[in-house]
Amino acid sequence: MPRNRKKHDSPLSVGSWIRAVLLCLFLGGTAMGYVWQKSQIHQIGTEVRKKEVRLELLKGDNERWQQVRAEMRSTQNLYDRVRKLGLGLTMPQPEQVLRLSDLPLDAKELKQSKPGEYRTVANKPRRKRP
Amino acid sequence: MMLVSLITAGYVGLGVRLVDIQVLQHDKHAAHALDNTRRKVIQASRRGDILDIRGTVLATSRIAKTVCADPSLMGTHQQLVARAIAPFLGRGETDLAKRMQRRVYTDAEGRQREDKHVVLKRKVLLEDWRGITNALAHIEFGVDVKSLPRKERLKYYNVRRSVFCERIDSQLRVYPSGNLAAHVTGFVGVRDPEGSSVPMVGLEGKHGIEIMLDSELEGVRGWRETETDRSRREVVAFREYNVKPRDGMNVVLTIDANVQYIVEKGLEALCAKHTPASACIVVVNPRTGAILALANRPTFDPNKPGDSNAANRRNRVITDVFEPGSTFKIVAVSGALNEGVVRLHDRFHCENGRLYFAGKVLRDHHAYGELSVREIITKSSNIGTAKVAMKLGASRLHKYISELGFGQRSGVPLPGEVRGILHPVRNWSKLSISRIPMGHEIAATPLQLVMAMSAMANGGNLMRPLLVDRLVDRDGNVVMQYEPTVVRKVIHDETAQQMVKTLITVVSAEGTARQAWLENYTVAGKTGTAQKPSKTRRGYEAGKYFSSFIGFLPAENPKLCIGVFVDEPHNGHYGGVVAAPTFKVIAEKSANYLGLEASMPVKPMSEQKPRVVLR
Repeated sequence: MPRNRKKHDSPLSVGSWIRAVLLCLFLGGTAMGYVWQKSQIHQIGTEVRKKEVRLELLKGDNERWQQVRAEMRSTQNLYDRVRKLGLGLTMPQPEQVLRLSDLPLDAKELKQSKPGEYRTVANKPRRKRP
Repeated sequence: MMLVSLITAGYVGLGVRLVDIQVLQHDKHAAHALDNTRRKVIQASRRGDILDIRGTVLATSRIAKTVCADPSLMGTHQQLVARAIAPFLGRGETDLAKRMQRRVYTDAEGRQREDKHVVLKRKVLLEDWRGITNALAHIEFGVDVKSLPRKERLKYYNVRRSVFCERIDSQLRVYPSGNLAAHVTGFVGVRDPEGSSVPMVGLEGKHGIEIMLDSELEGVRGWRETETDRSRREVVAFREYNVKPRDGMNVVLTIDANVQYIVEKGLEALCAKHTPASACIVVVNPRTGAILALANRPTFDPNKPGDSNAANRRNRVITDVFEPGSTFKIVAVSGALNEGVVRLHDRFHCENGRLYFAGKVLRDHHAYGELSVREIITKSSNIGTAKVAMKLGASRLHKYISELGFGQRSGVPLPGEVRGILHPVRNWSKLSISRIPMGHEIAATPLQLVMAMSAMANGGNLMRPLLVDRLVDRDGNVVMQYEPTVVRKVIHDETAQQMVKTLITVVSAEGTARQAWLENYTVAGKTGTAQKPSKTRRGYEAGKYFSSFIGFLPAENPKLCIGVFVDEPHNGHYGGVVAAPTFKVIAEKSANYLGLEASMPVKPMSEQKPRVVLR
């Protein structure tokens, strides 16, 4: 009997079987794809969140270092450091300041400079405006 | 049959319930479900920084957390949790453990509820919060938690999550330079969400630039609508709206932190020597009206504004008025010169120090005979100035006083500025024309006086005080640039030049401000010594003075105008003795720092005596 059943003509043709299988594969693949895509979205979302937290921490660090830099650069701190380290730094006196006036090469005559003023001649002549 | 009927009835019942829940009560349950998962998160914007003209940070913000606890999740482990987190919160373990004890309160409907939200500390810095979470994750309970049954394990897990932070970050305002320019930067406080137009907790300017430019500094907060999972973690995929906050703008002031430091130190030395009730100094660029430094004593630390009283926080440069005394003589004399009613070499008899006028005696501190107009200013003669003012006339004197900015606000962007007192001419007494020119019967703020002197220095233009140079965004792009503004031209250039020449003589051997003389720069200025009016009776208080000196340098091309004002000094009271030496110190150091070109020919180093620097 089983042999005979095997010999019976199947009500479904091979083509139908293939279509059914393909349909199942398509549906299964779509479902898998959907789940995979959802998983990816979730994973990316988690990564985004982690990165946001990291960004927030880095911003916090940045602010902390900015504050440290601001404190180190504060006038009071600089004066205290100079005093503490005994560097002997003082503000320049006017007689210690050399003033340089850069004259163009084509200057007809060098004017008399004031005491303490040093005049130089520019290496390149001034470019004329087009 | 019976069984089939029962099953059918069951299914029908379930169907009815399903329809009831999904259709009839859909809105209610949908809202409830959304309420469980949907979260609206407000994202606070970062408050902008306040910088000086060279980029030195005067005020900045840091993200901070508000750390809270839910005692209901702690069981009996309060002491353990307190020990773990106390070092990061800067509070005692016992105090913290006590605060985390379970307590019950009665709500508005009279029901007993357990307090599940105890604020442990506000403004906890991010790195401290990280330390707290780390410490909580590593609490040792003395048992192997992993080997416990799930229910028991959950209890220990809950202890670890019993300390949390509020969802909205707060900010901590930091002033790295302490009290440097404290009255300019001001300070912030916590906004009261109920009394404010912005219904959320945050920082709000309470004083100084912080309050005047509050909206520019604050920025615009953002918000996010999202969903959370069972563990209250955000599901980013369901994030619907995400409006990012726009950070506040940085405010760049015209203040120079180094000049400010020089001024603060000068003021400290002055206060140590003369122990005044109060003192203030303003440094202005007379050409632009830019305020380079502004300092007051007493002062306060904006990092801890609550530690000082209101008097310390008052910016006396704009909120306090004084009878200016002799510094005010420049107004009457410049007006008279400008109108052409007197010339510099015109001579007036100063009545040997006593002038009877309107039934009262007007005195000079020395018995002067004839003095030229220039000498009247040089020697600060009250009688001479009164005679010049009488020639000018009351209405024209009032006009010049008014045009030089007295009796009106200068427009500096700081809170609490007052107008000062300038009575209309119709209310003047017969005596007024002799008293007002020497700075009595009138009250002015130190800033008004400095701006009036700046007008003499810059060719006769009254400038609007410039305190904010520009607003920049977080990327450094300039959003708004503030330009110097001329309020009005008060006196002609020639008159201003005459005034400068006259004021130079004040800072000379025969003038009243010889202690303000500088080696390398020509200084022009005017001293002032005014008796203080009595608060209890008519007349003046004996022994109480308001001393001042306002000067500018280099006189031929002024770059700095410095006003030193001292209220009730001890160990001397003349402006030339009390205020002028401080002016000298500040002017010398500031000019050196700014690299101002010397007015006098500078001797080469080889010709100079060795200078010993004492520390």
